[in-house]
Amino acid sequence: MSGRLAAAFGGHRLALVSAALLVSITLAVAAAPLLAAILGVDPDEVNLLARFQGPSLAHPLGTDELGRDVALRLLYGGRVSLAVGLAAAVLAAAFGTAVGLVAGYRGGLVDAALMRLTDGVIALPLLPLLIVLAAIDPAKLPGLGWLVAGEDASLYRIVAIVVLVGWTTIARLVRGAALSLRGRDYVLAAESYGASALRIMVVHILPGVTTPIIVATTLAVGNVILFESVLSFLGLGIQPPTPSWGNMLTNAQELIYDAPALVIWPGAAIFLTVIACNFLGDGLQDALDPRARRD
Amino acid sequence: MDRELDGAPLTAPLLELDGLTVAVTVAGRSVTVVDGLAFALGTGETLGLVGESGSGKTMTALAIMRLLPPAARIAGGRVQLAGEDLAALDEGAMRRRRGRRVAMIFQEPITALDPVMTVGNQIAEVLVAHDGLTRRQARAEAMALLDAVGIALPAARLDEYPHRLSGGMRQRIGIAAAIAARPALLIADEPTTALDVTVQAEIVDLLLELQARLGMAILVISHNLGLISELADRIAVIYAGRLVEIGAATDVLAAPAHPYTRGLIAATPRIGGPRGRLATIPGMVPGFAESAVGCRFAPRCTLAFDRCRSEVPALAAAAGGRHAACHLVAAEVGP
Repeated sequence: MSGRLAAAFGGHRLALVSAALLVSITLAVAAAPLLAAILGVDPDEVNLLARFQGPSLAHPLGTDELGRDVALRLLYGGRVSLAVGLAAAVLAAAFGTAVGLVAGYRGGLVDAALMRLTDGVIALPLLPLLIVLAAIDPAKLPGLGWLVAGEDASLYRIVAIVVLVGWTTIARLVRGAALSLRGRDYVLAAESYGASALRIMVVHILPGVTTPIIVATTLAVGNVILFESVLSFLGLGIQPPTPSWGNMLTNAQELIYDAPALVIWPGAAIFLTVIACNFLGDGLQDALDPRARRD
Repeated sequence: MDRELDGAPLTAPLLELDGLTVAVTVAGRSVTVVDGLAFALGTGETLGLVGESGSGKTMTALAIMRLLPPAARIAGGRVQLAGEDLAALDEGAMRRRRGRRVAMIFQEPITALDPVMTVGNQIAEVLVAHDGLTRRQARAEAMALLDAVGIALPAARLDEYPHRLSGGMRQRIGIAAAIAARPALLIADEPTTALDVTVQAEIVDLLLELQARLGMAILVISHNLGLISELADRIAVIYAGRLVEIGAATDVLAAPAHPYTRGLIAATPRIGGPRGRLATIPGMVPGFAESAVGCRFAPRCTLAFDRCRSEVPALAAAAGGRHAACHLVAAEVGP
């Protein structure tokens, strides 16, 4: 990061705090297995004799309705939520970027077809669609069984679902930017030297659209984590016993009066992560786009 | 020199435009901006394409390159380059010929280079695409090209970004990229218009030197008769998308046959010439949407008579071996 960029970003205090928070959360969830080993606690271990315990040295955030350690489950759930959020946001960005580049650079009928498809996807009512898609068992789809077999099936499925519906924002952003860059002299010059369409899109146009892509992807990570929570809350996302912040909330909802802490911890984790992603996205926007900077 | 051949190239033709017509769709209507243009350019020869802004010069260049903007298309005619019709090639074949057979340098050296790519990589890109060189070979070759276009310390400049270089240097980089794959034809669209006068002269010298060394033909496009007179062997004058006069540069400049060419030359300022207001041609270049009956220059021509407004003049041999599209010229020489 150049000095100017660092200065602009540093001036955005909320973004800086958010970045620090996201780094801390990432480090903490990455260290979850290590902590489990040190504490000698298995996050999936059920102990019905130690249900609903308050915070203690052995269980810093207490235990849940099955006597499992809440702190560790929160960290393991964070691994799933963050991984899903990041993977889905990045894959959706990659797909959206490809669609947007082709539409913006090719123009004409290709552009019209791709953008009508994008409009179509945007017009689909999201939640019912997610619920229908989530009800599909990918293991039973011909040819896809090998890909999604095993415990992580629900994880891959949710990533795939989010990518399928989440690429449209970036596709439109990139298409607009590519459309304006396509008319630049240096693109014409590259064409006049005999550069291929792929090369022009990747080498000459893509660098000019990275800023909106980075910003939109950062914002999307937060949104995907919310999606995951919603789907898991409805029981259609990450399947227990694999913990995620969303399904921890689901488990806790019927206990909200008896054990409010079980709702508060995953809820707070979701809230903080999503809001940190949004502030970070805003900060990046200001730092990377000189026009949007406020002095 | 055989005077009769002045309307034709001096050497075997490399580029032959035959009735090239370019149409642009504006608000749903098709408008002809280049109308049946026909001329030839010989191997190693320089032809100057002269005309006012909006006369269709750049559209002609982009049509030859097959890089017309989305709203424009080649509506008719052929573009024969080294015996094949570029207008009929599929897109992939045309792409392989760009840079290799025909390349182009642009008016604005500031915007014609990718701002986020080093100049070395921009030149190497051409070499990798056409000659299949490795990155390292292409880098060495790019350095040799920078040296060839007169850039001092080429090794140090390779890794510079365009914004660190002056306009003249950037135009040299553009030229280096254009000649990298040794095209037989170089199209130079207003190559010096955006540059300082002293730098203009350097670029002209560079183009002449490169042409002598590489033997490429140059199609130079400009409204600047001074530039054209320094570079071109022959001159083609176009007005409102039509060829009005073509001939040897010295003849056309010394004794223009077409009233439009005369007006154009009269409007050029001269050192030591009479002071006061420069001569102008009355009126404006007609909009392309206006109906095209008769000679397109007739409304602005002081010599126009009835026939000019009803009949399109054909290109006719004029005195001194030139060809001009004017009823007066045709009448003078007579059948």
